[in-house]
Amino acid sequence: MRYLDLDIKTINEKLKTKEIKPIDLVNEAFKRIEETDLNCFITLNKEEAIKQALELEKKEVDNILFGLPIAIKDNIITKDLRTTAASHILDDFIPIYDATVISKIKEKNMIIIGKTNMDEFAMGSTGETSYFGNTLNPWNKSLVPGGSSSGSAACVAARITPLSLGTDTGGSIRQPSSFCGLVGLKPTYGRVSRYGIIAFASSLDQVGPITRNVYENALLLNVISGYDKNDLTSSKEQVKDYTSLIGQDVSNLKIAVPNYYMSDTIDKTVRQAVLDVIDLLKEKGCQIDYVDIDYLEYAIPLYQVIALGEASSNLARYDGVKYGLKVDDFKNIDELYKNTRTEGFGNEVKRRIMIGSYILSGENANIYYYKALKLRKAMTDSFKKCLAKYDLIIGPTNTDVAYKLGTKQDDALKSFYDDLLTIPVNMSGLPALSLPVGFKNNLPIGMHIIGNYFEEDKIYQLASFVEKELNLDLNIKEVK
Amino acid sequence: MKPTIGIEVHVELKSMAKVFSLSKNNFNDESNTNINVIDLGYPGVLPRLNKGVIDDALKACLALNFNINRLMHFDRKNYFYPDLPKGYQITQQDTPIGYDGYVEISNKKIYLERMHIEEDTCKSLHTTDTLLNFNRAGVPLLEIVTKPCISSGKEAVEYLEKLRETLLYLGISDVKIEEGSMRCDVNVSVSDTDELGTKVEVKNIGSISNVGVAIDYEIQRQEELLANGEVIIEQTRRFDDKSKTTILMRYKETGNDYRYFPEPDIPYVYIDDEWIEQIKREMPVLTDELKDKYTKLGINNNNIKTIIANKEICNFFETVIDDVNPNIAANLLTGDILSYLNKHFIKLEESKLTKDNFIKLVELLDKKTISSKQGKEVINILLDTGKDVLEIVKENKMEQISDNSLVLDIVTKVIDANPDSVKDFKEGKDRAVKYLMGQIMKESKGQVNPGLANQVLVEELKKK
Amino acid sequence: MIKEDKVKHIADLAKLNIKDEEMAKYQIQLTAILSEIDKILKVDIKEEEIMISPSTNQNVFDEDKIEQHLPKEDMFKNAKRVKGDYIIVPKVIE
Repeated sequence: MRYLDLDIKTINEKLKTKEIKPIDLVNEAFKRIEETDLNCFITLNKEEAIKQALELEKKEVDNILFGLPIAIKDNIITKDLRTTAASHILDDFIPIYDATVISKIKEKNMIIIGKTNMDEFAMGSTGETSYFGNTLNPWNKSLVPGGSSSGSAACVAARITPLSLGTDTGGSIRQPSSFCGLVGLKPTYGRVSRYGIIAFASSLDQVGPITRNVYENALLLNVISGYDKNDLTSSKEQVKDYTSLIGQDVSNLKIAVPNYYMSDTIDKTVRQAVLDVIDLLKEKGCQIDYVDIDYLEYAIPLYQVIALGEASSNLARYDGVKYGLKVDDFKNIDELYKNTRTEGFGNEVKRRIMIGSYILSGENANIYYYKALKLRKAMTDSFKKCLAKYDLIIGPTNTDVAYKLGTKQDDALKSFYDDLLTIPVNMSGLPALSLPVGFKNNLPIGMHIIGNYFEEDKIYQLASFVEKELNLDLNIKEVK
Repeated sequence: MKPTIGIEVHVELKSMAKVFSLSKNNFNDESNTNINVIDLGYPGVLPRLNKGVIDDALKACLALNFNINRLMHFDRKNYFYPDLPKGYQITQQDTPIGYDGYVEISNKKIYLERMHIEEDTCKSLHTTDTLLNFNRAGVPLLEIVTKPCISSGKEAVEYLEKLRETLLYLGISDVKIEEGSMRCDVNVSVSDTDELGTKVEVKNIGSISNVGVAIDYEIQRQEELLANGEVIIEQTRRFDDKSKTTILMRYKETGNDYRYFPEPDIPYVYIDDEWIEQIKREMPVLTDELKDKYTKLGINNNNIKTIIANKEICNFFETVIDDVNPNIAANLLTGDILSYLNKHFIKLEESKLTKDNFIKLVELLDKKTISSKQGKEVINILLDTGKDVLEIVKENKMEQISDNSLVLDIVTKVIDANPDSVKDFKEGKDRAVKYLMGQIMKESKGQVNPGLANQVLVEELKKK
Repeated sequence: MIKEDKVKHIADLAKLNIKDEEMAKYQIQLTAILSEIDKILKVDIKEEEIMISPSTNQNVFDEDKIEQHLPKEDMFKNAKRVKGDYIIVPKVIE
């Protein structure tokens, strides 16, 4: 019996009846890590996890996520548990505080199995920029799992843990979820506290759940949402029960499909999978219209200016003084900085912070950065206009399915183009989810569902309907 | 040749907590104790925002006649330096809280370009290594920048004194230049045409008076260079206290590239009318108003200056001003009391002076129950012991004889004993009165009211 | 293609060294990204308002009160060069 293949509700019942104990789940998770060998984790929390599981035996099963193993992306700060952001520059960093989302998870007595592999500082779309080596896609080990939340996606797909947390700055939850056949949500900007998230781009970063199905995704969102005094950008908007619209009738939903999302740039099979869903929804009685949203075609340069500008500033603190990599070869402070950072950062990160520094330097700030902030406003207004008329926007999550490891690694633009369809959502701060809706060559295809601000519940409503109707088999028979 | 001077002042605010974190704002405590993960720039941390700092800045805006940026945000100023834990400083570039203000000095208005809120850096101690004290990282600062409208060292000094006084009376800063809670950098340029000359920055000036010295030196240096047909190079100099000159620090790096951009971690701050009204209600009385009031009460200029310059004296004065003769009170406070405090290196609040005792003392002097000479003695005893004034006077038999009949008794006695002096008086010799007064004081052991005695004496002599 | 000097200047801004053998690669890659970025210069928008963040929060404050401090031992836990009560760096001369 593999308990971790069961749905959360069933596991919860078995925990309540004491048919299984948290330690059984923990042992199984660590056994699966060895069996699958996907390089999902940078740091395992084995000793603590076992200790916690045994302590939980004395406690009452007081919530549906009680005792469940969870995996945490390694750019989320965990007290006393090494947190590296997959970078050499932080490879011995032991945090002295917990991120707010970690405190919330601990309150629910969930068990952290380990810190998952990722692209260095969440910069990348394949998992390959990690200092700790790339993660493998459990659907096919020769393929990328997507990124930057590569380990968080791979470990849920391989059924090592039923749940994981990722972060999404330009698509880093949705794209690997799509490549691994999972449900991944980037919540509304401000829905989840960023306190304790190692910042990449402060105005775009958001933490979100990666799960096997829609319902379980909503359960985890319920736990991590909410205002936090430690994050001034977190929202005081009332936290909903995000499962509440699941199973509700969808026939009254008005749905928009941006023409840009169905253009020739998108793989034909991927488009067809979305078209099939559109047909299904039309049949159900949903109003579906093709629309234009302005400036989507500028999403990538827009992202490069804003995300990389912010990143160059956010990563300035890694200077070898207060924490992080120690180099011994320097004659003065400037050499200490340069030698630490040159040795500590990988190529993708270096490239990005160089670009970011440049576009903010001198007159460039006015030419590029402020222009980008205005363009961002204009694009957001266009989204708002659309969402004033429609409940949801749908399209593909990605231009294609998972591809071979090592593809076009020297192409500096590739990682950005992978996020072509996901970036606009971060720019505007909207919530969006990726849902598996089909296969191409036995690899999962993700559909993108974008909602209005703080209407994650409506996204789940539609997603759960489609999930139920399609009833895809997303269990990987054998990881090879 | 025309000199143009602009001044940038940084003042540390004395809020309880820091500006973007809530650790204690006091960098003089034991090194690296007033710190948290935010002050250290730990991975994953985000700034908080202390409203008290914005309140303080608004008070300064109102006092310095600034326009207020109602919708403001913060910006990041990016540069690498070991005293800057995050690799950027949170400041205000686009929307300073105050813009277009002014300060009035004796003969003109000093126009202020802007005032903004920012965070202080670590304190560095330079030994064989550089040691970092993070207590100061995140301490709130106001930066106040004048327009280039100052034309002499004297004006600069007057402006800075006025600014210091204003901020002190607002109660938002200690404004101690020696301790670094007020820092001044000046820009001086001299031009022999209508256009502005090349800017030379002078940093690290350790006192307000030295700002004047540094400026005058710099004007003279640049004028001489220009007179010799030389070109002035943009540069940063520091003031050398020993030689009273400025010394070249480093050439101003052209394109000091701070890569400013809006801080995404702190939401906009909107300052509405209600907030400003609230601050207006909390505004203390400032020095211009106090000066007016004291002048109208007839207090002399020197005393006014001294009172204003010593804020705690002024605060005390304000608590008694409605109850006593303000002139006598001012004389006591700025004279004997202040010199006692200075002599013993204590603050007024640490001394044994109480409001009640002070009022009694002023009343005794006002009614001439004791002489001003006796007043001095009483003050010293009072400040030494804290005893009740009336008791001091009694114990030392200082009460003046002001009863007419008693005074007459003494005067008569003295006149009778000195017929020669009466004769002298009749012959119009002035010294007779002086001599007789001396005898009266002697006879009464100094307790007779001298004014009254003099009056009675002259009357009695005329009767002879 | 951007010049070597410019790559060096940009690397200096970001406090990075560029090895000679990496120069050509960086020239190509940075050029590719910068030419992509230049696309936004061409877009004509009327919008004057900037959008710093999707957050619509305003006036999120704390009262002026002290919160807990970090013990010094914790602060030094990840620092690599510590002397007595201080984190140290190579002497910075003004």
